[in-house]
Amino acid sequence: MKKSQITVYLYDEPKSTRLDTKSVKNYLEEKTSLKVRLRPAIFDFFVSSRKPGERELEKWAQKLAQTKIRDVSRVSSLAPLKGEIEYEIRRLLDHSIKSFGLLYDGFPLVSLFFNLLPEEEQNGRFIHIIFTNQLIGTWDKVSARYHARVAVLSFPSIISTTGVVEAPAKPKEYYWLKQQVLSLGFDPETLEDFKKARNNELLEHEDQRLTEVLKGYALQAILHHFEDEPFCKDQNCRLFNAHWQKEVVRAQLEGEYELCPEHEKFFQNLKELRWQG
Amino acid sequence: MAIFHPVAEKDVTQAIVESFLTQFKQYAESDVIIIGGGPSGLIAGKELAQKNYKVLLVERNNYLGGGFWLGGYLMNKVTVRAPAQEVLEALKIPYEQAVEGLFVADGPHACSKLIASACDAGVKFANMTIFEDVILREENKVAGVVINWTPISSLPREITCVDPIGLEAKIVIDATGHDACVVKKLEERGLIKTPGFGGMWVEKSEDLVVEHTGEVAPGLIVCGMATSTTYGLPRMGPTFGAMLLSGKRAAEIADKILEKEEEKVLKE
Repeated sequence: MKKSQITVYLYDEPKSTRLDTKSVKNYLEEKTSLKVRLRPAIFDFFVSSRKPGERELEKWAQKLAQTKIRDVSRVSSLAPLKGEIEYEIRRLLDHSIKSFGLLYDGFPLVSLFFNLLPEEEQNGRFIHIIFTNQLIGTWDKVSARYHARVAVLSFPSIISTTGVVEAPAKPKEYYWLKQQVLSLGFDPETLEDFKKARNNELLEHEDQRLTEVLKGYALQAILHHFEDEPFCKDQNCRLFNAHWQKEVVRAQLEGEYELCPEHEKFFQNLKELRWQG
Repeated sequence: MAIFHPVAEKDVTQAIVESFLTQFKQYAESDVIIIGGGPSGLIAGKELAQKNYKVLLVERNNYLGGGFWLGGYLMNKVTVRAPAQEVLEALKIPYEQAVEGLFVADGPHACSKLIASACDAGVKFANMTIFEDVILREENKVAGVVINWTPISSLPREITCVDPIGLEAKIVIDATGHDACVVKKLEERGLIKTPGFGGMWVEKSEDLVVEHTGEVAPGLIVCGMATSTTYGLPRMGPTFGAMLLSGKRAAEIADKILEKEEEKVLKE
């Protein structure tokens, strides 16, 4: 396949006011020379292109509710309750609902989103990157529990605008403080003060740096399309698989360089049409 | 000269019995029965009674208000986040802004005003009364509750073989907090399966509680923290805005259902 045949689609998340998908698009085009196109949020795109009826919308809302993780320590297959389906319908149709906090199972969500894509685009000539404000998690067999993730890199790839704040761990001191707030009745404001004091190593919801940080994750999604290993071991590279907030900030905002030499070369080759997939 | 008018003991007894029984008889059938007299149940009751619905609130304790008397750690200051201060304002509860978007009020003042507003609106109460079961009709529609005196549950069984009684209603609202007693009863009967508490990925989930407030089974609305238990939403900190707004939302939903039912009856 020729590189010129590949199109990247970026799906917006209007619930996240700090995400500027146009800026992400420009960045990806500059780094890869691939054709990058913007689309509305995945469900808006689906509704406007396929015009589902009330019943079909309810069916998708039901499937979405089914991907909700009920218990982080076990895989559940409970049928969603009526209220959960109604909540998802409202979420799909109403952009003013910006709440998050529920965790959704990443891989079933990938397969759900895959089925919302146009059939002619369900192949390797397309890279679909979907931004969502939903929190996503994946089951870890070793620890036998779900873990929150910033991104699930697959086809399509999903990047969570809230996951980037909630999934990578905060400093240990934050959790000690949180425990004191929850169990000893300490003033919850101490948590806010802590976050402000450690702003340089923490990201907040609707953080002004969100778009810049998510550019790196979008680039990981593109690398995943071409390579088996989408992550880098170099903590200064934007493709580093960060597990701590501090590492996210370093890799995406404060690294010594943008990409490590190996990945710089990869994207340079891709840009100069030297990639032969 | 005596300050108070002389009355016989029997007059006092008769006044209590007659007043209680008259009301109890009237409310054996209500438009809405609310189980749980915490902030979400009280505000739901107030809103519905203001719309002239016949509302009975069942509370297992002698006192009403649930946890609304206290904030966290037994401290009697309650907090709400914006926009729930509008509810405090409407109830004429004095409050102060703690930080931007966070408001604090005296627990006793806030709670007593809320109870008074429900009473003023016309809500009637069955306190010291426990919810035991639901009454089900065709297609498993919840059509009332089975209740008993609270002390019955804490006395030895050999002296408490007291059968409960049933009260009918068009809508039942579960406002029983974390216990979600009414929803759990449907679960025991195999009519619903709740997920329990879910992932605790965020500290605050007030929005989710309000957004999930609604009809969980035909004839049964869930509100307040019972919503959190029913849908497995993350637990919340000690702030009451979601309880107030969830109660209001439950009342709006009940109003819509009752209006529809009335339209249906009129058509028939």
